[in-house]
Amino acid sequence: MSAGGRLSRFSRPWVGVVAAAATACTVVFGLFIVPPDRLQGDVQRIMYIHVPSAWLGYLGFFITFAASAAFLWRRDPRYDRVAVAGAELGLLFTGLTIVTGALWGKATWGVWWDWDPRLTTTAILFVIYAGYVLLRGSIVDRWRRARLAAVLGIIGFADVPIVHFSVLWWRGLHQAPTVIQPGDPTISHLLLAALLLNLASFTLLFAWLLVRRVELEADRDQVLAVIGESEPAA
Amino acid sequence: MSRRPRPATLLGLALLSGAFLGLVGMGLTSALVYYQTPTELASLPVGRAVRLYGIVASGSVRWDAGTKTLRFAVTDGTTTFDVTTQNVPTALFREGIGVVLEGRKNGRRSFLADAILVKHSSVYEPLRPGETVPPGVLQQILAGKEASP
Amino acid sequence: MNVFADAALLAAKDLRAELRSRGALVAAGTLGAVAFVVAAMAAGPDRAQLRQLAPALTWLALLYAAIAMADRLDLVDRRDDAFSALWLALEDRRAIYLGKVLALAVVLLVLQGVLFGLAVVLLDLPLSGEALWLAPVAVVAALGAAATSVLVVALAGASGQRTLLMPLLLLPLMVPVLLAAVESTGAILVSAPAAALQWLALSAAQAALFAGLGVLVYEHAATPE
Repeated sequence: MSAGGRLSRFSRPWVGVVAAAATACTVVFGLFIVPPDRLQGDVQRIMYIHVPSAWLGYLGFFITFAASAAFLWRRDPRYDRVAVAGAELGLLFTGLTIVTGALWGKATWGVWWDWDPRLTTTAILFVIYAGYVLLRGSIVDRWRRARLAAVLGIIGFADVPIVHFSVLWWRGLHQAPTVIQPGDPTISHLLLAALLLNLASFTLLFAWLLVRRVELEADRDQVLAVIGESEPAA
Repeated sequence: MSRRPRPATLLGLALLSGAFLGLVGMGLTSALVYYQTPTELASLPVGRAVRLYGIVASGSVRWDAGTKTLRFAVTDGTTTFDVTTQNVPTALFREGIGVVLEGRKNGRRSFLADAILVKHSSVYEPLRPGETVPPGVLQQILAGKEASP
Repeated sequence: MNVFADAALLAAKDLRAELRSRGALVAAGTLGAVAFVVAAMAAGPDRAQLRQLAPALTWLALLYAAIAMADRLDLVDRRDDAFSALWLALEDRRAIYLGKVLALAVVLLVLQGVLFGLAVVLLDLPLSGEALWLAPVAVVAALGAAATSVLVVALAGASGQRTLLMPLLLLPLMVPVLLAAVESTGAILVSAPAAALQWLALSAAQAALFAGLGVLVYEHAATPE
């Protein structure tokens, strides 16, 4: 359990405290210090939550994909715990992305939702991983659950490249990426600072939640092993 | 596990790389369209439901308070369409901004829009000190109408 | 015997069983007819609207048929535990996956023929020489739908919630295949057939992606209890 020991040290409460403090800082910075956007006004501030959430949602699903592949290869239960944590966090942040995006869309585009390729694929991704969580919930046997979920974690992620590139492939309503594109970012540096600060604090929050979720799953495995519901962890 | 790869494994890998190359190839050609430009729409028949993307031409926005109809022109630089709609766009709507219109072509160079989606340009700039967020054209028109009688 | 010969043998077995019972064809044909009749009632006297919806309705009916058929093909072997025997006997177990995909694709192709015929009669789908272009669309879509369904039914079938999880897992994964099929059918029958080529390529890429993934991970998904 050497990896478990490393994780526990990392997840000491102060990581959570720092994540909470950093998030509080970005709230103050994003709401009160950075001026509103010239055209959109205050509505643009939604971007500070929307964009980091989208990145972390993808990150969560990617973690599930990588951990699923690692599990099928190594058959180590630790990878399965990381996979479930990644999927649940991916769902949380993708859900946040969709909700904040809808609020911003209503104020800016004039609609809550549009069948734009990127919006549609993000929604599909969300449904696929909701199915992942439901599939896990419906299989009692611990090893069978891990194995089948890993397969779904891999095939579900096959959709992600399409999600990411769809905005470039189709000439959709969603704007092209602002930060990741060649040349100078088309966002002013002060606004970019707020975005990056929020990205950092959300990532910290994400890491803390991920570690705590993995620990919870490990505890659950141990309890099940003690009460004899399942074979002990390898 | 240092066996020779089995034929089915090779088939799987070949299919995966085929799919990957196909998707990359599609990304390079990007032939799938989501909306028409005014020039593309000009060659399409009247009556088809389409999405039209264009820039709102400067000085073209007219609001008819009696029939609650908004008229403006969208252009891509070479072709211009006159747009009629009963839909109210968001505050971001103004001359020179990109809009996606859902509706149908109802004349040689005219378009009836059921929905106006103001496309954000992905340029973000802070408000300078002393500046206020400029009101959209529609808000200006409505404010002027209230002031006139 | 190599894996492909095994797969062909297994597909032939499933198809022979299907041919003898003919239950699937009758069930899916009826399902399609019911869907079309309901749609025709909803559209009322608007023939143009009905015609425009025809491709989507046809493929939607096919999607439900694919779910039912994939389930059936899986159960056929699971019921008397023939699956475990196959699992132990085969040199490469992925022959089961390839065989099921092949059998399901053939059944879906036949179903498409039936549903398309029904659509021409019931939905007033225009019929011209260009309808021949539907053949490659149908083949690619059948392969894509089959490759995805067989993999997902292995996952959902092993869970405690088979009937709930089948459509829930399958529908989002099938969206690209379905979208491409509907769009290319519409392009062929209504507007320019050339536009269908792009959608056909997208459909093929999706089919190859899921078939490739299916071959690589099927053994993990289908291990018998």
